[in-house]
Amino acid sequence: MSEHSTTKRRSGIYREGVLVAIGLTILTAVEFYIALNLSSFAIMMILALLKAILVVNYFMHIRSLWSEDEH
Amino acid sequence: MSAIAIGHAEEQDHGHAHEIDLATYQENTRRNRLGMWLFFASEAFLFLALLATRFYLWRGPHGEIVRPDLGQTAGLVVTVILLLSSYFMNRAEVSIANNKRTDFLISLLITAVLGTAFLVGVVVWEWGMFPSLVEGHIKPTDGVFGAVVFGMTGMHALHVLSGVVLILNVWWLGRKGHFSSERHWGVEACAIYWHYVDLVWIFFYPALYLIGETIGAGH
Repeated sequence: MSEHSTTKRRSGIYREGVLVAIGLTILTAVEFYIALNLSSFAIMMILALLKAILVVNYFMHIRSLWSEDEH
Repeated sequence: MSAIAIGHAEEQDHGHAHEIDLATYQENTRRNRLGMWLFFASEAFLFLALLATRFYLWRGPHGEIVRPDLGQTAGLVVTVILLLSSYFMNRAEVSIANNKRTDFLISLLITAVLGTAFLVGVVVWEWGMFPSLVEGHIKPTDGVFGAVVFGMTGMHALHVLSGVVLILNVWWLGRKGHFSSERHWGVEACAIYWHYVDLVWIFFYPALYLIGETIGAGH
């Protein structure tokens, strides 16, 4: 693998972490806004599930359980 | 000439042994991962029981879901702190996987600091452990509200505390060069444990702070 493609891959992985963190922050802000204005149990649970999917998939690498290549 | 040939053969042997060793390490890591996820599954029962308790006990006179008036600012701030810490934990893991040792150590330290800030936020701000500094929003003696709030946040805080200790341990080992891009199961285990703690809070935060009508803690 060339130096250039390795660097590109690294920055891609770092960028993924930033995007997930931004996604989690946005979902938390939406959650807070909905709680103050709408107070819907179903929506709150859906938002929590979306956040959980992001964390389990990207931060906890659940795919690495069945994929040999995954870190 | 023969000395060079022997040296070359030894080098090849060493490389081969290293490959076998690495293959064993990767195989062990796969097993460890499975063990870790089974541990998470067992822990999930504990946290789900606490969540079920909250939704069973926190009911109004007509069976509607209610909640005590906890500090919204405190809840939001500690939640954002924990999410940020998860980001830095992920950064630490990615850094060691790419052999960026300085980034790895700094990210770990930031994660530990943010984890401690979360603990301080809950203990000082929400629990009111030091009333001279901040008056807490609820007491353990405030009926089902106090019991559930302190049960849920207490169990979670215990996990955060053990996570911070684990992170500092990994940081210390990392400083001594125990991890490499190829061998860092210790870092990965610590990272997924920390994200699990964050995952639990993702459900605890709305359950405690956001869902249901606000009602006085004295009920």
